[in-house]
Amino acid sequence: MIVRDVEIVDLRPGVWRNLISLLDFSRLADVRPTHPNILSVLHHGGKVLRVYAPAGFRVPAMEQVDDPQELAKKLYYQLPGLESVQILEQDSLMLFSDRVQRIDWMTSDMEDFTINAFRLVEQDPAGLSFFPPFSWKWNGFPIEDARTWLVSGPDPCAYFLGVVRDAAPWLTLILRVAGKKVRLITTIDYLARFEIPVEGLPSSPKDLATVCEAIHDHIAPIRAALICDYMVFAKLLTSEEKRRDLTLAVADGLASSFGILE
Amino acid sequence: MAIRVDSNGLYLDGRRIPLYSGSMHYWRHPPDIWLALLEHIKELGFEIIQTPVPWGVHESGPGIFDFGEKHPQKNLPQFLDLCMKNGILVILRPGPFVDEDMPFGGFPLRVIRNSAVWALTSTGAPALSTRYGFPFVIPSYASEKFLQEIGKFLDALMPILAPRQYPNGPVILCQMNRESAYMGRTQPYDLDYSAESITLYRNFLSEKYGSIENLNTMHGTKHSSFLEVQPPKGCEAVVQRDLPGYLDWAEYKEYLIRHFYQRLGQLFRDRGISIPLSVDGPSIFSTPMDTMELQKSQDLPLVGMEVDPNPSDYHGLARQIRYLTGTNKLPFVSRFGSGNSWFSPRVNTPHEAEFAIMSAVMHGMTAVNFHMLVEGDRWLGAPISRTGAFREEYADLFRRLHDFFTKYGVWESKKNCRTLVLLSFELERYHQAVSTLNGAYLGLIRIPSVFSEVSLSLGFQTDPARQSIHEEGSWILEACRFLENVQVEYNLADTHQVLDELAKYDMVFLPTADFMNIREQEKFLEFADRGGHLVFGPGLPTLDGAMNPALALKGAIQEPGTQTHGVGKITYLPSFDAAKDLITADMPNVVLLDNPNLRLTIRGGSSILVFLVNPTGASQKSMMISSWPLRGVWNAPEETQTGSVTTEIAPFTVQVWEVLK
Repeated sequence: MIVRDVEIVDLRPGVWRNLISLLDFSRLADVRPTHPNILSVLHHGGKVLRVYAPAGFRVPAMEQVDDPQELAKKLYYQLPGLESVQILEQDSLMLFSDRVQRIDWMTSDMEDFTINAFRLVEQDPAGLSFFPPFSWKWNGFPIEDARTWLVSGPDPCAYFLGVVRDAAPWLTLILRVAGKKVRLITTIDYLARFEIPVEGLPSSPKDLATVCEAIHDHIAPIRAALICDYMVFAKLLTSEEKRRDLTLAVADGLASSFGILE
Repeated sequence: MAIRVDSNGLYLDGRRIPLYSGSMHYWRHPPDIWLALLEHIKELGFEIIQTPVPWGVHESGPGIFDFGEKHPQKNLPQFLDLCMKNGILVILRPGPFVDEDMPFGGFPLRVIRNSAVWALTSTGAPALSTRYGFPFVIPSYASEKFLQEIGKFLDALMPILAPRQYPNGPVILCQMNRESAYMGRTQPYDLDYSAESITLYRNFLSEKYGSIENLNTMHGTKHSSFLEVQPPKGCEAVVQRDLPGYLDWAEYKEYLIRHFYQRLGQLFRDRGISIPLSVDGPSIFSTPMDTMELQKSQDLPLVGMEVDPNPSDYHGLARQIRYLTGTNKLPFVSRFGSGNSWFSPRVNTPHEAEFAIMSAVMHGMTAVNFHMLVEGDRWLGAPISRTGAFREEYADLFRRLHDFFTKYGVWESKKNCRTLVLLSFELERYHQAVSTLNGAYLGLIRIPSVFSEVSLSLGFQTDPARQSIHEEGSWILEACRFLENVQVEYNLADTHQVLDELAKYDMVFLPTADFMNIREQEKFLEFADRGGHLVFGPGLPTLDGAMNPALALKGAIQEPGTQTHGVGKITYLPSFDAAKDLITADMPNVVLLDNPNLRLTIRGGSSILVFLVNPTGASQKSMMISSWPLRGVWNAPEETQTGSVTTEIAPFTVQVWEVLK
């Protein structure tokens, strides 16, 4: 079933296309996740059952929810600093859970399944109200933009991506793109832990070449690589002039790359 | 039976051997390197390997199986014969669920696409798991169709397996399934609401209550037969007498697991499997996994535990092993992570792996299977790479460990432990029963955990929901921390522990609230009567599980404090603020160190070994006081020292000292 010459990079695409690590697995697996600045109100048919406010936010007493969307918007502006407000109707949560589990799983890989699940949230099933509107983020980046960007390079292609924020690694991945699908292969941690003496992120084009050579030899034939600042990456995702912006970032010393957007 | 498992280990024809093994996946390697891999495994000191037999790998079409006839890597008989020829014993895991990063957990899609095998949620949706890298519906433990399909797989497997059981072949143990608790979906109202599960629930109630009249009395219902009983889909209790219906559903989830393993075990036995069967238990404590009941009722000598070692969570690892040690005849970690999945964010370094392994040993692990010894695709960080080369830094660790374990007879020794902390099954069931909003996929919306709690005002003096081991501030967690802080080693078990086992301890800590089964109250009083010291709190039970008066404990002690009972003692301890004098210096398992950051345990056997661990990120110094000379045998100075021994111990390190009597 699994032949010997299958390397990590060659995980069977038909059964192992995987975006789960890109999606922050803990958000899927942990039923009691940690909570950033999200104000949550649980109600049943309008009667408030529970209110959860992050530390430092004083929420006005409320017993009744009449217009969930309006209430979410009002609380969001009333309490500056919140990431979002979510007004959740108890039965609708069960409905949401029910609908997720009726997604076609037999023909879905994890990537398709998870994206479809998030789309259910984005479509705002009756009773679940979010302000600002629910937006699925991947490491702080809009997921659809990230996916579009990730598959916009050579195809098929394996490449190294490193994003730096405040001089620290924010995101380090070796990705494979095939058929406009993205699959995580591994992270730079493995390189640092095993045969390849690489610690942290490379900071120069020469270092980048070393990393890519190592990845090429030990994990995957690399066709493209990008290391850049967080803000550069965020801008690239939405830029209409990606090549120009990337060129400028390289010139400004904010990015090193090869094989991207060619 | 030529093979026996007991608290002293594994016996083959009366010869005791350590249950010390590691995993490799034959089907992930070409047959021409199998021998080299096995030789490497032996070189690391292992005489036993463990390998799964993934159903989905061998079923090449509906009812068509390939055990090497077409694909050489699937040649299980050849692999087992090679093991036999080379003196390697085998623990076989025929599933049905194997995981191992296989599509659909190793199930054939043909089987799990059939809705007759599905577990259903309370809304009737198929209970979908995305825990194993690929979405699929969790099979129902109650599904007869599922059991029939398993039977067909076993029919095909048995001509290979049955004749290769020890002593005619290398297979010494048959481990059933993996993840034995609903694949992690343990919230009681989440699943299983399939028709067959509901039928089984009614059978459970019928067995428990005997008549519908008794059930009606307990549940406050007016059913004319058990066929009318419907399972609860959420907690709507208003008064205390409403609780039994919800608690019964939580208890049924334990029953359903036992039912499945009873049926599964029978499938193996009916097909000629005579070697011991075991279960790879999940790494959870208490309901719905009832480890001790499973061992007692199912002829399962081993209910292993999975440990995914994370050196930064030493205390979590220590508690897992303490529970394993307190609940199992032979404390067997059936899956001790050696390396990690390729998509995992981290793999332990050799030093971190050593720290985790030695921490587990010091807290009682006495049998272990390392997962994996040989990397496959999708697994990294094992001592042998997938091409058959040693990963020297890991291989060296396993060589050193083997030499140490052998030289000092570690697997023949036992941890000295005279103190037991119990989880209360009743309180853990209550904690489960008053939860709501089954967790499946609500994490996508980031639901606060408090939304999963039901607010009840049932008039209890002590809120039972706050007394689960899962609740920060609970009495049981305070008990654990108290003992850790005073450096008293303890085991964990639960209230299903039998009296004879309790009596092996000097001191038992028992969490209590307003209600407690009367027989259990009497059992714990009997423990004290025989000379034990029972410490309970924070509540004083006055009711039984049916919320009727039950005053056994209250009859023995009414006020906080300690009093004699029989030849033992009872302490009613509402709060650990008053626990200062609970531990006395003359207790046999008390070892005083002058550094509160360190922990110490002792294992006794052919050698007496003192394990000292530094679970912090900074180097620590301490003085040990011993009546006998000590000599460092692992990460400690080798020269013999007497009296007060001052030692320095590196961050995240275990030292071992031999007591020279």
